[in-house]
Amino acid sequence: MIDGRLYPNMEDRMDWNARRHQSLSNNITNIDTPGFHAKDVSFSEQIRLLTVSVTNPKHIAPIGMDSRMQQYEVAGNADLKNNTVDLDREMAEMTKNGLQYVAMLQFVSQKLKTLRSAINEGGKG
Amino acid sequence: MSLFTALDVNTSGLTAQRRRFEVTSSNLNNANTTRTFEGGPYRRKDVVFQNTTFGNALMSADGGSEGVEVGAVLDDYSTAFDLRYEPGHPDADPVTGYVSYPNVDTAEEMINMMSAARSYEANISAISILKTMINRTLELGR
Repeated sequence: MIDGRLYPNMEDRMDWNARRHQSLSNNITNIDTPGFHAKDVSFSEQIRLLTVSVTNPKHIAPIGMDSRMQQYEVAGNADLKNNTVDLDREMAEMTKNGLQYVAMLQFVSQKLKTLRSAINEGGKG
Repeated sequence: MSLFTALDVNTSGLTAQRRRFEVTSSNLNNANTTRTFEGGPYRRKDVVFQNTTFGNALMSADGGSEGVEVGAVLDDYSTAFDLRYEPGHPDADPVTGYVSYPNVDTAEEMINMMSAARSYEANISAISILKTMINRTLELGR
């Protein structure tokens, strides 16, 4: 439990949030780039793949994290420069994404606290 | 991919918007310049932004670290010089008495400047959100 990945699901989720922040950042930096189309990273596909568990050694293990994250173009109205970035949407999504990331951190932090208490208090009493 | 790569993305945006700000300032400053090194009046300039991929090329398989850069600074030939009748002006055409003034529209430049400032601020906001994410990660396990 201690060596290797402690909380794979949470780590994957945080990885996704970090990756998504980068994607949203890219949209914001390209707000004035002609012909640029806003992009986002999907999560639903990932969730489905995460629940796949290997019960038999002959099964194919779920593929690596990065390839599970699918980038797609966000549907939106193009302006005169054929740019589809909607600043309000990007800022809202980015704030949401940041809060989600911090929430996951909070979870992991609590989990670590539990672990620590098991280590410190377990032998007593 | 890491949180720090996202920082590079926003930094590229800051750099590009600052460049645009500089070019716009130059246009405003030279709104009445009738003499340049190339000869003739000042011609207004425009920045062209382009999407760019940087860093590890292998990372770009999943979208990678993209960003923005100033592709070019172009002279604006779409509008003609502003002709004003000022026969006493040293740069006036000796025959017609007209002076060619730069094709700079002050209102347009001001709007450009505001737009650049807004985009710059948007990048700053993104960076501050990212900083929160990084700082909170550093506190993990304490």
